Amino acid sequence: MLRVCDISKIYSDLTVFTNISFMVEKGGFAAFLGPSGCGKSTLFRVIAGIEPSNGGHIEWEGLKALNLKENTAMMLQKDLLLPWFDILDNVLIPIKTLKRDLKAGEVKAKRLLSRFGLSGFEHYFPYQISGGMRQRAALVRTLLFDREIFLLDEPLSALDALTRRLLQNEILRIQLEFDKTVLMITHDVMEALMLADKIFLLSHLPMRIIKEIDLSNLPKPRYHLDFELTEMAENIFSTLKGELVNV
Amino acid sequence: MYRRTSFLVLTFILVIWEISVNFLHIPKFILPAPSLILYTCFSQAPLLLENTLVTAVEILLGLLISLAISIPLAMVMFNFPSIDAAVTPFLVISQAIPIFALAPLLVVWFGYGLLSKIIMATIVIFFPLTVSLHSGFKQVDPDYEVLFDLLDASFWKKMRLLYWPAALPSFFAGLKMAVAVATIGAVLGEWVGAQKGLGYLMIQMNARLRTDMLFAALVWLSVMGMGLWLLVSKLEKHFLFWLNDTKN
Repeated sequence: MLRVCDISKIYSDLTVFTNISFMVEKGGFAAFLGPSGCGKSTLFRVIAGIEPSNGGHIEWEGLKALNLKENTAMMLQKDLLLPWFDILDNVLIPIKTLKRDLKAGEVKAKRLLSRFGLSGFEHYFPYQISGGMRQRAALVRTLLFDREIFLLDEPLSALDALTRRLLQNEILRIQLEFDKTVLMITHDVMEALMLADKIFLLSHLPMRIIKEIDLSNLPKPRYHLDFELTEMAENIFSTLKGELVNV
Repeated sequence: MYRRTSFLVLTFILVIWEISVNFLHIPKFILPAPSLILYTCFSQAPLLLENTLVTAVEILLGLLISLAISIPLAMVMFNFPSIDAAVTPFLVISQAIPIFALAPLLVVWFGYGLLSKIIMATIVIFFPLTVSLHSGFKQVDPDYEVLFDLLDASFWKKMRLLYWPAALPSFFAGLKMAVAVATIGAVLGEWVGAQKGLGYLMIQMNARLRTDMLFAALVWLSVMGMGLWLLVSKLEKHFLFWLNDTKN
């Protein structure tokens, strides 16, 4: 279980959030929905230990810590593939940096690339493949961090609608097939409803959790045209509308 | 298209030059005709080549020394902002002092041989190299740094995988500028005191009113500079294959 307890982040002139607390089951999928600039990314950066928090702590499987740097892998909207390396070298960056066995890593990388539809593209450079393929490569790289918690900060927002639908399934596989705990920021209400077991609705600055929606009883995969989901999407939108008006 | 235009303009100027010199009977020690310069370029080729090679060696050695200084210096300045702040004024001063003023001193200190010219070339070259590499390091997208921070990458790992390749476009821009100005340093050094080199040849030929030889030396110098530039451009194209294609 991932427990975030009373985490705060305050810059000298700006309170981003104070005393945020929430829980995500191990192997669960939580989506964070909220107005842009509300501090969601900052929350992720604090959890990942890229930025220090101002109070509070985090627990992962009962162990207390200030952040979860050792346990998290992160993926951003930008694929962040290095243009001077081919796809294989790009996804191997975690292996190289963490000084893991390169041979074994390469075997694993090739297997993962083929499972995400990238076999045959190992030696292509990022500029030679499409945005969707680049993002899938970024997903493979994130998997090769070999960490239990995935922080996905709008991983699909730069993609076109069709590619996006396809990649939502890939992200679901991260949770179900690779047994990761996923926290994802998104601006797409339907995307959150399709993928998440739990949705947190967030306010504008200073950020707080307005509402927590439990979806764990809805089986996956879910369908876009599902009546229940559409109705929930309307509810979420009207809850968030107040926050959007305030921006 | 533009290449053809510049070729036409050049031809036009040369033709006007040739005609004016012949019609106005300008003495050849004041302004030799292009045809004469061209003739001298070839008839004196062995002598010109010998001196061109000397100047080229000075520039290439200056370039190597500059690389040996600039690369570590830029890395240190990048990793330690305090050192950056401390060193930058000296870098600027080193460029503010006219190289013309230093040349005689360097000849007094390091003699008439190659060394003083190599140092001159180094002084001219290392500055654009250091500055361009340093600013290349600083321009790296901070999101990439986040990626490597998550992996707890060491400075050297980040340097090898991220900063160095990311700074290459800027570095090559600096290198191109460096080879273009490097001739100034070397030739100036040779003017002040030397036993060989194109600058030395120019001074000698000027004193003997062999203006055609002086022009011929200039032509060879330009060709050499162009050659260096093309060489760097080739290297740039080879190492930055990923850059051209991202832009297209």
